[in-house]
Amino acid sequence: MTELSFQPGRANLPAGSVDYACAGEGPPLFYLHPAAGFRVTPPVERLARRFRVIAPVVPGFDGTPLLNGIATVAGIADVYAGLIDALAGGRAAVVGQSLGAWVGAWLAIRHAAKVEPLILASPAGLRPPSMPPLSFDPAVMARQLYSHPERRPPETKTPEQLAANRKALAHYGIGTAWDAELDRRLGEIGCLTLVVHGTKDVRVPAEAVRKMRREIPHAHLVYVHDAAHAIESDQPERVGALYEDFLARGEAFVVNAGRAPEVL
Amino acid sequence: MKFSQIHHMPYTGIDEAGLGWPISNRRFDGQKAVDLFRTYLEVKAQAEDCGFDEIGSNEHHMSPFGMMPNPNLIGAALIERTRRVRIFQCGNLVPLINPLRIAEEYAMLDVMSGGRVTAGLMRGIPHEYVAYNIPPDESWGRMREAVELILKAWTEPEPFGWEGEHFKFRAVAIWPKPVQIPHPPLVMSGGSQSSARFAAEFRAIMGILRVTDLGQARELIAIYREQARADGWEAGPDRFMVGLPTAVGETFAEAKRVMTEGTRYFFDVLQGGINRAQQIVLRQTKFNAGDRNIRPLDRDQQMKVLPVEERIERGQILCGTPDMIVDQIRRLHAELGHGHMNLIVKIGNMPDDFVSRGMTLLRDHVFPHVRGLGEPAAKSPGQARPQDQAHASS
Repeated sequence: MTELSFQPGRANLPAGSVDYACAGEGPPLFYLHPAAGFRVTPPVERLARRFRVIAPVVPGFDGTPLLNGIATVAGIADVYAGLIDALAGGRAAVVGQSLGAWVGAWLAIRHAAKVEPLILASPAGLRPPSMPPLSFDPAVMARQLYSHPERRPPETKTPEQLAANRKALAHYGIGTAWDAELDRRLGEIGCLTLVVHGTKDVRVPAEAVRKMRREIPHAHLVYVHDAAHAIESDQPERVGALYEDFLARGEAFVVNAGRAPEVL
Repeated sequence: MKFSQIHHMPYTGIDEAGLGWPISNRRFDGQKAVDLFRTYLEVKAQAEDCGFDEIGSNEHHMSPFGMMPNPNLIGAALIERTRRVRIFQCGNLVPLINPLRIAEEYAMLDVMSGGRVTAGLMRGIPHEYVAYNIPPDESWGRMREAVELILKAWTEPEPFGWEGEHFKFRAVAIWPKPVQIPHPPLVMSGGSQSSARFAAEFRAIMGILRVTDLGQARELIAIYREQARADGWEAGPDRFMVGLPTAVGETFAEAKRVMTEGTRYFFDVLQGGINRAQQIVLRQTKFNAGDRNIRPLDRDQQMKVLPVEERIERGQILCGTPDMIVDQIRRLHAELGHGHMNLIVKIGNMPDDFVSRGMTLLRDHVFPHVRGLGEPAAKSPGQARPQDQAHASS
């Protein structure tokens, strides 16, 4: 198998410049990273063998500058809409993980024509305020992110980068994990959508993904057994295969394809 | 104290011992089976009139010792013959069959019975894995995943898919769902340290279905309690079910003779070479990985050769006159503190009229004296206890 390597890129948009990583060939797919920043997890690597994966860096993350006037998750989605125009001809498949799913949901609401289909994995943004606030204590997070800590990828970011990323999170108001407007507008997501949730994910409540399944008109919900919030690291094979099958077959992914599925 | 009746519905039309496993079914006589099923269903349903709280039906494959490869069919028949008693499925062998089928069929039974189902989720015994061609090494993995999937299927309000190691489903929304909210009470086997911890994790009633000795039973109960405390709750007597072969007669001599002969027939004829099949599985696989000295391979042989008096002393069986049975139940309860007993009323080829009379003796002369044992004051019998089912909405 050919070794894939993500190459850095920078797009200059009206809102400012946005960094991204890119790998693979094929139809365009935007991969939206979680609050930990972009990592090439096994499912992401698998996507890059069938798609041209473009993974934008949220402005303010990984040493990139914040953009003037962009201070909400919906605002990040607006920036990415410009990126889809610039790099993907105006339409792309979108896969978002945690914070990335929050951004992806807004992208599908505010820029419906640019997204098809949409995968929302461990989707953040709908943790009700009635629940205890999310902990960002590293020890608690380690327990909550991984059902299989032995599969945790090595940290590649410097302490300074991590500190800057946490500061960027605060800038976008992400610590609250509750987006009341998104909660009200889920029904406006018109594209085919797959919601993926780990059975051991305590950071995203099951009620949030149920609500997505209930209110997004063309949504499917799949529970991944024995996976916590960092679902792509906890169950890389299952999640990678699920992404691939849904992206290849759309709604027909509900049908058992047998031993040798024809994908793409 | 609550009481369940268990009747394995054995095929008693053969007399040869040592037939190996599986026993050839060329010996099967259809008319004999028709007569047995008619009798057995009557005896099982009689449990309601005899004051039992539950009637149990269990699943076994490829053996004449139990003619219920699908106990849910028997459960359905019992629902039509009863009004009050709970339908205790004890139960489907979870790692061996489609978990969604279990969720669906138990839900059907719960609806058909108006919410009377107690849901046993069992792992099975080793030879069943040969029968259904399931790798024994996958037993615990399949068990855990299937139980979690069944609970999801019962409680999830939206259609969902499941991506697991052993099971993949992309569109699940069962109809009907169970009547009991969030789902029927669970019973799981507690025959080993691992299974005791597993049962506690799901807050299931733990069935110690065949006691080898009281020390073993105490250890398993202690493990369950320890796991419960680690999870932040206290296990009351209602979490523990002790299952025992039972023979009640007008005289001890009669009960002893019937128990002895029924036990011999059970081990020598009905079980055939199951022990051999068990040994092959246990020696070749990790079926009981992580457990120590539980269910030794020769345990069944010990149970067969020990005198009845010794087996009573060890807490393996209940046997004797009603007064003796009352004393034996009180002693067991003093030792184990359980709140539920599972009485196996037919062992091997015990005569059916003896079984039927024994149940009447239990109703008239035993149950009135032991009902209060282990019964928390505020609990109402036979009801689902949603607050005990922590996993229901997870």
